[in-house]
Formats: sequence, C-alpha cells, structure tokens
Amino acid sequence: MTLTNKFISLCSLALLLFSANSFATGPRVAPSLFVTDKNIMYAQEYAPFVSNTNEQQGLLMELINSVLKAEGIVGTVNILPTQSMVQYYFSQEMPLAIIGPDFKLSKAANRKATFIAVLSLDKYYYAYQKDEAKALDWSGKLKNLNGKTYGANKGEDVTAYKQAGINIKYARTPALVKQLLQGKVDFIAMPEATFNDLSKQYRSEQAVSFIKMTVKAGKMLMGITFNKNHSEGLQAAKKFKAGLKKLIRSGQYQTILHKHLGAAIAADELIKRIQ
Amino acid sequence: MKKVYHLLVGLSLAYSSLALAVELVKPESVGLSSMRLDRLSQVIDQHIEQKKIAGAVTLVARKGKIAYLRPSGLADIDKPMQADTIFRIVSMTKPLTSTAIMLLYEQGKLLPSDPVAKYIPEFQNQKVLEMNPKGSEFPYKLVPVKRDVTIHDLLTHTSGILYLASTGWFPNDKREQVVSFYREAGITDGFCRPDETIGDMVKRLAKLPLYAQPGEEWEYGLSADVLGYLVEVVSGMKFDQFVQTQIFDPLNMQDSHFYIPENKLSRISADWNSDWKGSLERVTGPLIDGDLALCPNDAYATSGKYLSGGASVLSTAYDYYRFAQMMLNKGELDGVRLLSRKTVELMTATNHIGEHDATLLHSHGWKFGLGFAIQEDRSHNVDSGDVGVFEWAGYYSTRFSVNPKEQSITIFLSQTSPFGAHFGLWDKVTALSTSAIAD
Repeated sequence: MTLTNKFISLCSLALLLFSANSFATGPRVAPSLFVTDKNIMYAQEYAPFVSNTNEQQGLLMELINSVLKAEGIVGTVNILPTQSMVQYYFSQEMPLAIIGPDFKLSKAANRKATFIAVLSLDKYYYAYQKDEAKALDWSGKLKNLNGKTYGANKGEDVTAYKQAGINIKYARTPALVKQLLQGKVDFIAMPEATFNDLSKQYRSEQAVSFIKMTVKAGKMLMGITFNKNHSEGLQAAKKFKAGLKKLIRSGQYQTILHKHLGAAIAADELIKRIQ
Repeated sequence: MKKVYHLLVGLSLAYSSLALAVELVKPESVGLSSMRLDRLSQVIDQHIEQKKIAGAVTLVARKGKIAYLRPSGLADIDKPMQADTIFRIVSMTKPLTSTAIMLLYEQGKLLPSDPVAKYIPEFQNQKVLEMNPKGSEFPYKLVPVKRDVTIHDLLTHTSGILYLASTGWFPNDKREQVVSFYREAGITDGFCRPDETIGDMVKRLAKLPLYAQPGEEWEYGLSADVLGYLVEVVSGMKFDQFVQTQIFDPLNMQDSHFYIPENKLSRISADWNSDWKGSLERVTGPLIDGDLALCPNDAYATSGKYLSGGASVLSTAYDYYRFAQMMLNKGELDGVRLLSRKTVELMTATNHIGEHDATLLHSHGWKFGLGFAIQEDRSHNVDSGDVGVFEWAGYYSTRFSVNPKEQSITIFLSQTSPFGAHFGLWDKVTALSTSAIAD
C-alpha cells in the first residue's frame, strides 16, 4: 500500500468513527471519552463572580482565566453549584485547584492548600422592610440586631451572630434574597454586585424596600486554592502568583475590574487588599 | 338503537371560557353496566359524605366513547364540582412530556439511546454517590458513571436522579446525602414553581451526584423535568409552546395549560387537606412536610418562568381523556395521528426496566415504559385491570388508567392532600370501573 493510500484509508476510518452519524447513534461514542481529568479545577458558582451563565464566567473567573492562560497553566475548570462538592473534591480527590471564596476547609485539607487571593470585596448587610422608619441599622454592633434572623450560607462561620443573640437560617445565596423578600430572614450579607445581580428580578416592584446598611459587614475574599499534593500544584501556585502580579502591573486587572463593576470602583484600594 | 346523551359541559358556568360538547353514550352501548357504574358513584359519594374528600370528577370510557363523566362534591367552598373543573394534575404531566420527546424521536431529532450530554453538556462526566463503610474518615465518595445517562434512562426513571421528597418515602443515608446536595444547590421538586427557568435548574442538577449508576435502579424523580428542558434544547421552542402546538392543539385539549389563562381562574379546584377520618380543610398556603413542598396556590399564577415536565400542567378529566384515548388508539384521535402505532407500542412495552420494578404506586408486578407504569403480571395487591394496563398519578390525588385489552379508560381527579390516603379510594375506583365491564 502506498503512503497516499494509507493516508486515505486512515482519513476514511477517522471519518467513519467521528462523523455526526456515528456520534448520533448513542452512548457508544460518549463525549466523556474525550475529556482528560488530570488538571481539573473546581469552582463554586457565586454570581456574578463565578457563573455559568455568561461567556467570561464572571469577574473572578475572568481574572483567574487571564492569569492561567498567560502563565500556561493548563486545566479544565468545572463550575459546581455547591460549596460542599468543591470541598469534597479538594479533600478526597486530587484536583489542581479550587476556585471561589476563601473556603473553610478541614484541618487535613488545609494542610495541602495554598490560597492566593484574587479579589477582595466589601460585604454589606441588606434588609427588606416596608416601613423605612423601622429600618434595620446595625451601626457596626451585631448586638443591635439581637432577636433578628440572619440568612447565612451553609458553611459560613456564624459564631459572632449566635453570640449576639441572632437567629440563623441557612440557604443558598440566590434563595436568601427571595427569603429576605418573603420575610423569612431579616437580613443577609453579600457583596453589592452579588445583591444587585440577584435582586434584579425583584427590583422593579421593590426598589424602595431593599435597604443596604451603611456600615460594612466585612470583606469577602475570593481566589484560587492550589493543591500542594498535586504533582503540578506548587509550581502552578508559584506561576499563578507571579502572573497575578503581572496582570495588575499591566493594568489588565483594573480593566477587567472596571468592566464588571463599573468605572467608579476603587481598583487601587482593592488591589492593595489582595497584595 | 344506541341512545346518545349530550352533556354541555361548563355551559352552566358563567365564568367558563367555552362550552365543550362532550358526547356521552349509554354505558350498555359500549359493554358497561349502568347499574354497576352506579356503585362507583355510591362509593365516591360515600367518601364525600364522610368528608374524606371534598369532591371529584370521574370518567369512564370504553371502546372510544365516554360512558360516565360525573362531577361530585365541591370544587371549592360553596362551589359545586363541574365536569370541566380544572385540576393540578402534577405528575400526570410526565406522560405528556414523554410524548413530547417521542414526537421529536419521530421527527428524527433524537434517539432514546442518545446520551443526554449530547444535548445538555452539563451531563458530561457525571458522578455517582456511594456511601463509605461506617466509621470511614469521610462518609461518602463520588465515583464516575459507568456510562452516560441516556434519554431512555430519563423516560424510564432509571437515571439515578431523585426527588427530594423521596427522603420521606424511602429514607436511607445515601438518599439523604444526595438530597443534601440538591438542597444546597437550590434544586426543588417543582411542585412549587421557583423563580427560574427549567434550564437553570437542570444545569445545576446535572452537576450533582446521581443516586445510582444509570440504568441500575428504578428511582422516581426529576427525570421528566430534565426531559422538558431537553425538548427546549432539541426543538428550539419553549417547552410549554412545544406541548401546546404539538400535543394540546392537535388533540383539541382546550383546557390544558402550564399557566392558567385569567378567564379560567375560577374553574380551578381548591386543594383540600384530609385526615381521611372526617376532617377536611381547604388548603390556603404551602404544604411542607420534610423535603416535600407543595404549593397548591401556584396553580393560580397566570404567568411564570418555570415549566416543569414533571409537574406543571393543569387539566380537566375530558382533556386528559383525549390524551389517554389517543394512546389507547395507538397514536391517533379523531382523524389526527399524533404518534405512530409503533411508537406507542414502544412507549407501553413492559420490558424497559429489566429486572427492576416500578414500585412507587404499586408493589411488584408493575414495570415502567416510556412515561407510564405498566402492569406486567398479577403478583401485586390490586385485583383489577389486566396485564398491559398503563397508568400514572398526580400528587394532589389524580390518577388515570388505560386498559388496552378491554379498550377502557378510567380517570379520577380529586384535589386532596396528602396523597397516600387516596390509594384505597383509587383502588376501589379502578376495581368498580373494571367490574362494570359487562360483555
């Protein structure tokens, strides 16, 4: 057989194996057969910073993807809807990294974790009240909210709230906004961008009644946690750290920040925090 | 000569949007006994007198004709039940969804053996939850699927996808663990309509662990909701529009809706909470029992985003009869062919789930086809019907049964919670409608 004939035969075989028709015949050629798991990363969905619904996958993901790409860190990011699953994969399997808020990991998982902060945003308390005269105001002291119900995320440290006599109700972040509206919780805490994103659908009717408390509730640190036990984990973390610095120096970090959070955002202050 | 009765359903209702002329035939003309059907009326009336249920609409058809269509009791406080009262048929939505999928199958747009991931990429690389032995450092592990979930798995409830409410039906540690992921991810059973699209929910659900390896267990769950979204992806149409144009319109099901039109609001039956001992109360708010959340008032929403393939449809006894008669006729009704004979035979074949049994409504002896439970043998407790009978039910106490051998259909629609208490009455309804066969 000539080389040309061999080439034609191979091409024909490939066409037969990978044609739309053979793919359409069912599970025999499953997409999962073509995906590698070696450098898998898991991210926790947290709109609008980590999201499946837009092209850049949200602000945090765009920042992280920019660094990963620039530094040649190859991996597949799988965005999951629960923190528990992300924590499971980090503690029980061998992902390259996990992405999202500063996860509360178990002691054993923490030993193999190296966290790099990528974003630090202010968190605010939000309440919903029909009567603005009775608006909640914590004035920096949780005791002022004694007897109220706080809507928390599963896994959140709520010790301070309990000590202040505040009741706790757990729910997923999008559900917390709805529960606030329904009066099931009295106040919730999240970055302004998250609240604005999630409350969009209620805003036309309820604009006046959502109250953002003026004193900040704290900071929310988000980033990437590399797995030191992964064969490429330490090296990738080192590269990522350097890459993040380059992203900031080049001004690209600030551009991405402004694109997602608006021109008014104090980029320099946020950068100082993560540095 | 055959005497034909005409009943103008809904004509007496000032708020009825349209009057449907339903042809009722004398029971004897289709081999049914009027006297024996009276027994059916008596049993239902007894249940109403004893305040076990508030009311019901019962329909019995044979040989393509309706011989019995009887509203009884109350649809709401001070509002008598009417033949055209609209019911939350909840899980009786599922056979409609399966039909939507099979219409796409007949158009060459999908195959039951296709992996769902081919159309919804989030279904790639799924994991199955397995419990570790007691005392292990971590309570569970996630293992890769042995094969991808297929459309067939969704149609037959062998996908490994659960209902949250199943923690109440069959509690065990593994189920609790899987459902805890569902809760954290904001997955609901869809009996209350969330503020999101079905696609939003399905994409999250796909990322969560399965309860069992695809094809290895029969587990009633959110599979039909995934199918509803699949219809959207494959057809390019919103699920409700697809069902409206491809099923409701051709079958002339004029009172079946995902969201009720404003002019039909007053025809919706109330839901009633019954202790089955004489205490009957109209339900005014959500019914929450552990992981089971029912929102009967959501039926009054005239618009919304959520289109559940497992639970959203509102319908009447007559409309559902038209769907059931189409299935009994092997795909055709009043000159309109919706499905081919071979497709209906495929949907109602008894051997889709192998050695497993569809044990939610029945005990052993019932299998599951592509959207229906199917009686395979007589080793179960309900002594009525024949091998080949196919049926399903809805959580607010609605049920239908189709007997191809006797060419009969029985539909019983009530709105009574909780669901479980209604089994005894339903079994009597099917036993009495079956024993009314007199030829």
